[in-house]
Amino acid sequence: MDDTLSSSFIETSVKQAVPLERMAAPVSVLYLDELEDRGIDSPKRLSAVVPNLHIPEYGSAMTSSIYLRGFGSRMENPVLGLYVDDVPVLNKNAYDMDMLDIRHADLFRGPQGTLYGRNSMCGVLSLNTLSPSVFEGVRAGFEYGSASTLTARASVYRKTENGLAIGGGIGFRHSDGFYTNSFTGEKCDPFDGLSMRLRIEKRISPEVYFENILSAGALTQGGWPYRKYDTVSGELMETSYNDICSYRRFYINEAVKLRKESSDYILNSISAIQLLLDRMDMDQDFTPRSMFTLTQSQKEGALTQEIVLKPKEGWKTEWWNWQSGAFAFWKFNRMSAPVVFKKDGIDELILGNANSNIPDDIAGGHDAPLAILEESFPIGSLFGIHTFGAAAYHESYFSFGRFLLTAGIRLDYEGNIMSYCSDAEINYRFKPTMKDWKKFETLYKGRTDNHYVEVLPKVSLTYDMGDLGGNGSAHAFASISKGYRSGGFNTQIFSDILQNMMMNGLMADLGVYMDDAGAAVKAEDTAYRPEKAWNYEIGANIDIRNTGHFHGAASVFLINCKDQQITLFPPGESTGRMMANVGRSRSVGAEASASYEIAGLAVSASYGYTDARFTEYDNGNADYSGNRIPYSPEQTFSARAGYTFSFHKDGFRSLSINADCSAIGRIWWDEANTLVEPAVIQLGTDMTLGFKWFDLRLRMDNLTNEDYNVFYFKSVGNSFFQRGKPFRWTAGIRINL
Amino acid sequence: MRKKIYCILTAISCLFCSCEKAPTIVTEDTPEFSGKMTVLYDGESFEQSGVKVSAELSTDGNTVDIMMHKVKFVPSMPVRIDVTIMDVPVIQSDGGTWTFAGDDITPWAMGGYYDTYRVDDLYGTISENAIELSLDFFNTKKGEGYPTSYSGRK
Repeated sequence: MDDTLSSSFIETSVKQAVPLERMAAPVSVLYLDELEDRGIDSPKRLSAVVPNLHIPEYGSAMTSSIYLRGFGSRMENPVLGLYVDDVPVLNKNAYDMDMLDIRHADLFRGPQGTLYGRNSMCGVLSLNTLSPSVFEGVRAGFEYGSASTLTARASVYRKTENGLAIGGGIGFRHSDGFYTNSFTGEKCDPFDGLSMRLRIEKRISPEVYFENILSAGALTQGGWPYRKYDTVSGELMETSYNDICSYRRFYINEAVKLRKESSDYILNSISAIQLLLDRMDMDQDFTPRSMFTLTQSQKEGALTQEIVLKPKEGWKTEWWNWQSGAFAFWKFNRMSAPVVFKKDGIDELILGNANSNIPDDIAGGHDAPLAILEESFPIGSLFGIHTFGAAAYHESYFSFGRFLLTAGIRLDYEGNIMSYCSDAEINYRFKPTMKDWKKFETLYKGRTDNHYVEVLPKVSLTYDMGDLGGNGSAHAFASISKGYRSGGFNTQIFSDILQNMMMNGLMADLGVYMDDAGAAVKAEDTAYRPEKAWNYEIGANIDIRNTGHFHGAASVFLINCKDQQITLFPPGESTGRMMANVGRSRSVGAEASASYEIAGLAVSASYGYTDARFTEYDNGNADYSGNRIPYSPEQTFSARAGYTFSFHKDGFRSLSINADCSAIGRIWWDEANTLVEPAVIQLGTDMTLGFKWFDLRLRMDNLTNEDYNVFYFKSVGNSFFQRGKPFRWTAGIRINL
Repeated sequence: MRKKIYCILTAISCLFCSCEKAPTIVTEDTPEFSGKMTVLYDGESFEQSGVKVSAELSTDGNTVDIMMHKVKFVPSMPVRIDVTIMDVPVIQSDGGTWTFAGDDITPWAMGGYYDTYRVDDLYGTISENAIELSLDFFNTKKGEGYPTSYSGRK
C-alpha cells in the first residue's frame, strides 16, 4: 500500500509533544502493513513482538491478562492502558478486539501515569485507526485457514468535495475452534465475531477540526479449554467438562474529537460514550462432574471526557513547551453473577464440609446427617458498581542545548461505589431430628465504597547525541516516573461469602455453632487498593539512514511496586478468587530492539528480560518473599527476517518471504514457584505475492507444533492448564484499490 | 419435700410427652440467665461458665420450656448446640419460686426431637433472679448418662 503510514513522524496521539525518538520512554511502533503481515489481528498477538509484553491467549476474549515488565494480573484492572484513537478503553473485557484497519499501534513501555493516569502503570498501548483524511481507497481481505478459520473484511475511505472525509470498515471472523472437549466430543472454542467502524472527519471552520469515530463489535464464542493436571503423576488430562462454557459480547463506542487550533494554542477535546454488554457461561469446576457453574452478565455504560491544551508559536518559547490536560470519567456496571451449585457441588462443597464437622454423637448414625432437597440451586449475586474519576495533569518540556528535560505531574481521584445483593434459598433437613424439609433463606445486601487520590510525578532527561554526521540521530535518556493500577472490588468472592453465610446461618438455624467458623470475609473487606509503582529507567536509541535504515533502542529499568494486587485463591475448596494488596515487589530488567532494512531485506528483533520478585509477601501461611512473581515471563524474544523481490511489472509486482520466531519464558505458575513453564520457541513464516491491486498471502504459525502451556490455575482444589494453539496456517487475498 | 414435688411433676409430665411442637421462640421478654454448667463426664467434671439459659413459662403457667444456649456437654465436642427441654411441669410455691421437674424427656435440638439423648431426673427452681437445675443427659445409644447441673443468675 502506498501510504504515509510507515513514517515515524506520525503523531501517535494528541498527547504526543515530542518526536518519538526524543521521548524518554521506549516505544514499539507497528504499522498497518506489518500488523497484517504478521497476523497481528488482536492486541494479544503483540506478545513478545513488544519486549517484555505477554498477553497469553487463553480462556476467551473476555480474558485479557496483560503482563508487562513483570507485572500484571489475571483479573480486574490491567497494568497496560489501552487507547483507541485517544479514547481509553475502560473495560478490560473489551481489550481483546479485532484490530481492523489499525494505522499504527504504539506501545509505550514504563509508567505513563502523568499523561494517561489510571492503569498505565507499566505502559500504554495506543491504537490509531486508519483515517480517511490520510488514506483514500478500498481495502478488503479474505483469509481461510486451520480450524476453518475464516476472516473477511472490507473498508472504504473517501474524501468528498466539501471536505468531508468518511471511512468505514467491517470485519468478520469465524473459527471452528482448536480444542476438543472430550466430554461432548465437540470443539469447545468456536468463534464468530463481527466488528465495524465508521469514521467521519471534517474541518468545520478554519480553526476547528471535527472527528467522529463510531465502532462496534459483537462476538459469540466457546472457550476455556482447560485440562486437569494430576499433581502427583504429572499427567495432563484431556479437556473435559459437562456444562456450557461460552462468551458473548457486544460493544459500541462513540467518540467525538474536536481540535481547535489558533496561532497560540491547540485545544483537543475527546468525548466518548462506551457501552458494553456481555455474558459469560462457565463450568467453573471444568470437570465432567456437576459441581457448579457461573453465569456472569454485565451491562456497562461509560462516559469519558478529556481536554488537552498545547501551546503553539504564540505561547511557547524556543526552550519551553508544555501541555496540560484534564480528564474525567464515569461508568456504571450492572452485573449479575449467579453461581449455580449442582448436585456434586452441593454434596461435596456444601454438605461435605458441613457434615464432616458434625460429630458422630450428633449425627445419630447418619453418614450425611444434613441434607439439601434441591438438586441444584443458585447463589444470586447482583452488583451495581459506579466508578468515577477526575484528573488534572501538566507536563513541561525544557530544551537546553542538546538536553530535553521533561517534568510532569498528575493528580488523579477515583471513587468506586458498589451496591450488592446476594441471596440463596434452599430446603434442608437434619436427618437425626427433622422429618420435614425446612426452607432456609440467606440474604446479603448492602453498599460499600472505596476512594483514593494518587499523585503521579515524572521527571526525565533526554540527551541528543547529534545527527551522526548527517546520517541519522541518537538519543540517550533517563527517567523517573510513577504509575498506578486502580483499586476496586472483588465481586467474584461474593458467592463464597454467601456460601459461608448460608452454611453458618443454616447451622445456627439448627442451633449448632462451630468452634472454628473462622473469620468471615465481609463486603467491605472485598475492596482492594491501587497498586503503585515507581519506575527508574535509562536507555538510548539510534537511527541511521544511509544505504540502509538501522534503528536500535535499548533500556534498563528498575520498578519498585507496593500494594501489589495479586489474585488469591482462598484456602480450601472455595469457588471464588480474590484480589488482594499482598505486599511489595520489584522488577529489574532490560529491553532491546533493532531493525535493519536495505533494498528488499528487512530484519528486526526484540528482546526483553525481567527479574520480577516479591520483596514482601507473607500470606500468613507461607512467606513468598524473594520468589518470582507468577504468570509474567522472565524473557521474551522476537525476530523477523524477510526479503522482498520487486519485479516492477504491472501484474506481478513483488514476492515477499518472511520468517519469524518468538520465544516466551520461563513462567512461574504459582507464588511458591513450584511449577515452572520452560521457555517455548515458536516459528512462523509468511509469504506474499504482490500484484497491482491485490496480494496473495500465506502465513503459518507454530511451525514445529510446539506443545506448551499458556495458563495455569486452581479450582476446587484441582489444578488446570491450558495448552497453547497448535500449528496453524492461513491463506488469503488482500485487496487495495 | 423435693422428692414429693418431683414425683408430682414427673407424673404430670407424662400428660405432655406425646405432644410435639416446635420450641418456644426466645424473645426479649424471655427471662435469661447466665451461669455455670457442670457436666460429669468419664468421672471428671467439665465446667463451662457464662452459659446462657432461658426459661419460658407457658401461658397457663403449667409448664416451662428450658432453653440452654450454645452448650457443650464434653470438652471434645467440636460444636456448641442449643438444647431445649420442653413442656416441663412447673408449680409455683408461696414464696414466688417456680419449681419444675421432669423425667424421660426427649430434648429438642438441631431442628427436632433429638432422641439420641434423654433427659432424666430433671429438677430445678426459678426465682426472680436465679435458676438452679440438675438433670441427667442420658445417651440412649451408648446407654450412659451425663449428670449435669446448672446455676445461673440474671
